[in-house]
Amino acid sequence: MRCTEGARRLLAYGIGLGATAVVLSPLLSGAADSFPLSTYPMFARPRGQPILYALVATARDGSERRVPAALVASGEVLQTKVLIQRSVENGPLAMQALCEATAAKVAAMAGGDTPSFVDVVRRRYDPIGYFTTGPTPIEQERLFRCPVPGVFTPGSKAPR
Amino acid sequence: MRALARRFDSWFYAPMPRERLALLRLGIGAYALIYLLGRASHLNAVVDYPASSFAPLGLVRLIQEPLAKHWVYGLFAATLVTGALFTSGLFYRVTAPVFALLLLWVMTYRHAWGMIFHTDNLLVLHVLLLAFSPAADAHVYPRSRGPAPGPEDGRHGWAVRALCLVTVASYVVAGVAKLTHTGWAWAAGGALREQVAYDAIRKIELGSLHSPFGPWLLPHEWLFTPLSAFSLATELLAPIALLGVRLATVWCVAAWLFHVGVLALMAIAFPYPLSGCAFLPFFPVERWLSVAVQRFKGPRRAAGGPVGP
Repeated sequence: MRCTEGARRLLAYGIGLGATAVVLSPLLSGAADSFPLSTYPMFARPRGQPILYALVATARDGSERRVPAALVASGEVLQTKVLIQRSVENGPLAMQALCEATAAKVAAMAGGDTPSFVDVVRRRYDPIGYFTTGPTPIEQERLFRCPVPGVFTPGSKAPR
Repeated sequence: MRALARRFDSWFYAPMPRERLALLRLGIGAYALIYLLGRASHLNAVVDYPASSFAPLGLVRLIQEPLAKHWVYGLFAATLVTGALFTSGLFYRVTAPVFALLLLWVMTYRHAWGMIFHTDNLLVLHVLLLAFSPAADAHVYPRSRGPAPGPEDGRHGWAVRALCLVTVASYVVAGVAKLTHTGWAWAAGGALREQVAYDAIRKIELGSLHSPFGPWLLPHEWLFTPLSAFSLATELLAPIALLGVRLATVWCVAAWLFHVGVLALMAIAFPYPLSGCAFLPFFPVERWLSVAVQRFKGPRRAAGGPVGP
């Protein structure tokens, strides 16, 4: 079937201007961020003093090491950050699942100085102060603790 | 009013050589293929994410549960195959829409786990537009299957204009978002400075690499005002790129520098604009190709190669 020139032109306007209007639509509709239509909120707001959830590997003497994102979920650090946050939001069972899965990977990866625990922690930072005065969090809380398999950890059954 | 509409029509439906649209298909299609291959491990890592983190959005709202592994891998493979056909221009009327929808699915599925990245939006929108345009009227490979060459036509012009309009619109939305959330104060630099610091902290605390350059700049507070003003101006003034090749060049260079800045300060790469492919629709790429071909042929002729009539 052959299109007439008029119909062809109408279709071109429909697709071309329609696509542009759809990309601009979040400005008017106030819709939530989505894909591929986005409100592009990533750098739009001041961050204030953000809360971060993270997994840390803790030795019996209390010293801690950061667990790389790739061991927690994936090499994509921002995706991993959200997965940790969602586990926290979904409660103790979700935290336990993430914590134990990560602890198993930590046990497999670590050499002679295997940490004893993996902790899920919540920390609030002053972002500028972190780099200008020091990286100590303003406040912090341990939300969940699980033992690293194969490491002797007295009292490690207690989840908190 | 009628004169304005006619003027807009002569801009939007401007006759353009079919080679331009076809080269955009080749460039953007090849970029998409390389990107898919380069990001294969990340795009398929979703199979190991916990189902409790599944947060469908966009097209992926069609399903309520995560897909089985074999579906994720199968759809990714199908995207690669149709992407190769899209880029070559073969069976375009069928393969192009299928590739565009598969690419939309694969990318959306990757974002359906709580974290919405903003690096792939423009690529997907461009591929969708190309898929529904006559972008395989030239440069079809193998050549024997391509249509015969023809004159410049508005059929090939509107799609190029639409690619430019969508690009400009996405930057304007990003600029307006800053004004909506923070107001003109965003240009003062405080929000950007906090963002740079926050981005580095979250990467450090998650045991990942961060840009050392961003934290190094943080004590120099005054620097963030021109950086913020430049970023906001680049986004809000994007429509100037529609006013001709010279202004398009100015804006594309500014937008590219903006992304270079984001990469340097926060180690966040927007590969599509950084590669330059996102800005190709603003330029007469077919002329670039013919200049390149002539330059390539020139030395060979001078060296004793065959000379045409």
